[in-house]
Amino acid sequence: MLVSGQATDAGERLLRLLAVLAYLARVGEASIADLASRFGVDERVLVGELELAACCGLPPYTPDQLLELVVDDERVVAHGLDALRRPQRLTPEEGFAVAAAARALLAVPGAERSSPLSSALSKLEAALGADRLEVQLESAQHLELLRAAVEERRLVEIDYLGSARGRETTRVVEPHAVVALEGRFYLDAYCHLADAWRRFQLERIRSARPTTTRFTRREVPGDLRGPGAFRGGPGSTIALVAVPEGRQALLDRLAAGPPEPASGGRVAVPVRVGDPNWLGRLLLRLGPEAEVLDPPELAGARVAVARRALARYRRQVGAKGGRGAPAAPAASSGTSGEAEESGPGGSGGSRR
Amino acid sequence: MPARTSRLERITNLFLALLDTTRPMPLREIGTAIAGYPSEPRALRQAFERDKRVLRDKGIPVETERIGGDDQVGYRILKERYYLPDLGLDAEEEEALAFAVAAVRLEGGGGGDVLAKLGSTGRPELPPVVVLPTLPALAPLQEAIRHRTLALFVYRGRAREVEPYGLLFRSGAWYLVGRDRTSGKGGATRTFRVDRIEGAPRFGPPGAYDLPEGFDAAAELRAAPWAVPGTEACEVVVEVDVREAPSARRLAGEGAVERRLPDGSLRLRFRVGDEEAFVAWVLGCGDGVEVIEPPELRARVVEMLLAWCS
Repeated sequence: MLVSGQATDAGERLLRLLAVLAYLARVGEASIADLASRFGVDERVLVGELELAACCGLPPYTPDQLLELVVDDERVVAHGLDALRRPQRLTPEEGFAVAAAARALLAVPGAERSSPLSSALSKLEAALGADRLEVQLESAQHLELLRAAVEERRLVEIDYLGSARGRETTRVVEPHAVVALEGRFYLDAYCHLADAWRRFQLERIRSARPTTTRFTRREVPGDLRGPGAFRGGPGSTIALVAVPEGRQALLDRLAAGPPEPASGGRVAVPVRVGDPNWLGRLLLRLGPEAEVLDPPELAGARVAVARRALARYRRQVGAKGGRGAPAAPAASSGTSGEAEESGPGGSGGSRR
Repeated sequence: MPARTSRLERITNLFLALLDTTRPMPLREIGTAIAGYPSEPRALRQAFERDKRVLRDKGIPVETERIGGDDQVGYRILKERYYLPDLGLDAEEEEALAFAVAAVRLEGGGGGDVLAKLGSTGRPELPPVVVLPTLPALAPLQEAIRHRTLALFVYRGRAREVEPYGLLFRSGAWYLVGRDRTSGKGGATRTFRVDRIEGAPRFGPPGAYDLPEGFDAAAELRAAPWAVPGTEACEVVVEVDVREAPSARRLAGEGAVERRLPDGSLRLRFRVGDEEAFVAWVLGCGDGVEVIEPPELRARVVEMLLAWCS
């Protein structure tokens, strides 16, 4: 019975049918295949519903009162349908989606202030009421250059600051896309240095130089979609971090799963970790009551970071024996360090 | 198949008739005139009530109106409440909106087929330029701002009554800024992280308050974690290395930059209201940030680091 596996209740199907009819009212004629892909419906289901709609209309349901639709297996032709041509009011979700999308795009650095988009937004506000919505994206350097390189499939050489130990590396990358995730800009690219896909934070690209070499686009891996991309790559571990109840706010957004109760009135939150340094810093920030319950090999992450931070203070304070603390126990490099890095805003984590 | 199909047919017919009629239609007439309804009064009532609920659930405004005579009430869909008002978008503007909707992906939030409603007949396929998280509370909160309805919700374990002023996305999170009637003396402007609102907000009647003129949500929302209104603000000087420089500068503000060093690190001077939050931030930056002044805060950070290393 569940033919298409979606829109099974009458209301959903009605709304979809109305959307299809409104579209037909404007274009007059369309192929079934086009309609099916446009509205994400199975072709057979769509033909069935259009045939049904051709029998609908107004009392007394004489032929002149029915919706004028001529349906065959390949095409549908519509006449009239005046009542359905004008769109329905936006639902709150749709109203929000449009306003947020327009605001977000206008927030992309380099967006024109007075563009058709901003005038469209003012008209939308005039009709629906002021939305008082604001989207802020970080300012991003190299945005235009990288966008152009993506467009032209041009190799780019970048100087990139690795997150783990602040080492700068020069890499040649095949830029695939520039995308703002949770307010920050990233470059998704195939990195020749790592010989793997990487996600680079634009903020950490010190300089970028387009080359004259073109590349052919590679198959994009499936996990290169959305904010969670690369986080779960090989080499990342789930750490169970315990914090006192009520202090888990910072962890909420990093949680890789539901929190569970832990001993001493604490909650244990699973967090995906690609780089032990990142975890060490997170723990320092969370305060003394925070603790890694599992895996045991990550338990020392905080001390390692604390030692290095302390070394920095000692170096400054009159170099008194402090320089003997080079200990900076080089933690093994995280495979997904670029994506794991988290700024003071606590962003950069997965929102799942 | 037949039962379900005829339900869609019946409900489509009901919708078309109620949208077409210029006067409220009583149930009796719906039963006799609209195809697909049973004639037995109780079955008719039941079938109609179910269909009406489905229409209303889907945002189709079926009005119930008093009419004279034996029927007492009638039903119709008011065109002015059903149709999207004419937005007067020109072709370029339609295209720009369609591009925005296609280029900005809202994670976990459906927008329906907005493009079709806004008059676009194309559907550009693009890799996203911006990916924004969404939350179920955002659309209702935006509606609340448009209609000036109070939002009632629990935040940090306390029930709030908030006059929503604006919504803001910053640093990966959505914030609601508004006047919380339960805060301070007779209310105070507060910022709420929307993902921390406990449960679904409830809303009061429209027109409950006025939006302040020239309100700037962004200015209201303090960026730096240490800038929450504390007691006496103290001035700090920090050195941040090149890794932390961009985000530290963003948090402290451009005016905080005192010196730029050739290796890309920065010396920043700024005021801190919440020392706890400041120290937590410093610790969370590992060896990327060093407190230079004041000596007490520097000593405190060193002491805490020592405690970990011993």
